[in-house]
Amino acid sequence: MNTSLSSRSKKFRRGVIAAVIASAMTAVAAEAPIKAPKDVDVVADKNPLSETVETIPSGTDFQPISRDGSWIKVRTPGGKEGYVSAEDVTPLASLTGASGSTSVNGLTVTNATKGLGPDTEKYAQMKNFKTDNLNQMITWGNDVSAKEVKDFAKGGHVGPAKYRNK
Amino acid sequence: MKRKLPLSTKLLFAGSLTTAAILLAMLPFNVGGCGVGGIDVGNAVGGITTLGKSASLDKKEPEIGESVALQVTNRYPLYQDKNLTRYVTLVGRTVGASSSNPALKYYFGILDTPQANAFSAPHGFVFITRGALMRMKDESELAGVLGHEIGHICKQHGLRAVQSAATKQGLTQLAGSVTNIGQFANVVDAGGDVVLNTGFSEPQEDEADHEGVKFMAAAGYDPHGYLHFLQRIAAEQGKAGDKPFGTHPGMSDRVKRIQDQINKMNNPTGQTLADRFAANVTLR
Repeated sequence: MNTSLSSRSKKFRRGVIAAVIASAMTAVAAEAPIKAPKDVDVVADKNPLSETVETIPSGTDFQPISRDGSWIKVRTPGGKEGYVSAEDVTPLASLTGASGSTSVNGLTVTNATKGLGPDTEKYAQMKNFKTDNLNQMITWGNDVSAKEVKDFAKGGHVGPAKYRNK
Repeated sequence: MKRKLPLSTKLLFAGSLTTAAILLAMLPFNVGGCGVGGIDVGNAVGGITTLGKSASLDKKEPEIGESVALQVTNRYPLYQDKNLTRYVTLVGRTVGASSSNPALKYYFGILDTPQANAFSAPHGFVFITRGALMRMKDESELAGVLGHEIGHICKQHGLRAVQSAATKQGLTQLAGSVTNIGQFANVVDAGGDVVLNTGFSEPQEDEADHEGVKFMAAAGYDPHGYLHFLQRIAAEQGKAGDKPFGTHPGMSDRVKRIQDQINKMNNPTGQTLADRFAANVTLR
């Protein structure tokens, strides 16, 4: 009897532990850290010229919170919240909502480097359109970081008045 | 065969397609794009649309934009100058950050043609020709033309062209029908035809002008730059003996409306950044 209870208890505990581990893995997968491949500005709003909350040094891991179009809401290592442009960080595929199969502008980051949306690809095939020019345009666009836009605007004293020179 | 339309069209005037065809033959360089929008060709977009703005269509906007952009990049090659494209992108994103949709990521391409023109596709795709860049004097002029295109995007003029086409084809739920790639292609083709050939309606061109001036001024650029560019293009066309175009009421009205808008802004000033433009744009 005791043996039987003990056995069931052990099985129950194993089950609980397994469930906890599985749950934890899901959470980790959903909120896997993202990395700054180069210095990345975390900004206050979903606008590349909004106020810089914190600059993340190249190579730093930090936490995504949620995703909205081409912007990722993040928590910095210093505990501050703000936004980064999805194309400015890696890896993108591990983020919540990223499927790797949607379209270029804002839905997934993988689009930027791995291809256009599925309907776009079908359309291109149907029309016998080349996609290399558009892919190059997107790649070149993704090479321009939000931080570069901010530095450029600052250099010319342009940008929205409320953010200018911040 | 695809028609080539005058720059004037995109940027400067309204009129009939017949008039446009005549002008085309007379103009020193071709232009099209949204300026073509000035031409009233039965108004594929202009009257818009009996189809309500459906959530499903909005959801498809990225791929609609990509597919229209594909049509543009299969009509014109991209100018292979990464540094120049980077500069145009930086100016464009500065204006985009001051637009009514600052969160959208805008992508910019330079089309390798001496024709002066600019185009946009839904969801953030903006194109400007090498010929247009060659005719600019400073960064504020570039900001104005890019602002005009961003205005089309923010007002979803391209998307409405697709909506209109979908309505004409009896498609009320594009997303539901998109499993049929043929139907998707048909409506996207129609959107691209508006962007590249027939152009947006005159009210949409005016709206894009208004938004563009507003955005560039909000970004701290001198809005006179856009006006100066349009006036220069008009003068260039006039020198070529394009009298019918030069006196076209749509063109003068459009320039006048921009001037009026600027006047109401109490003689705004802003950056022109001629030196930075000259350092980055060496096309001649």
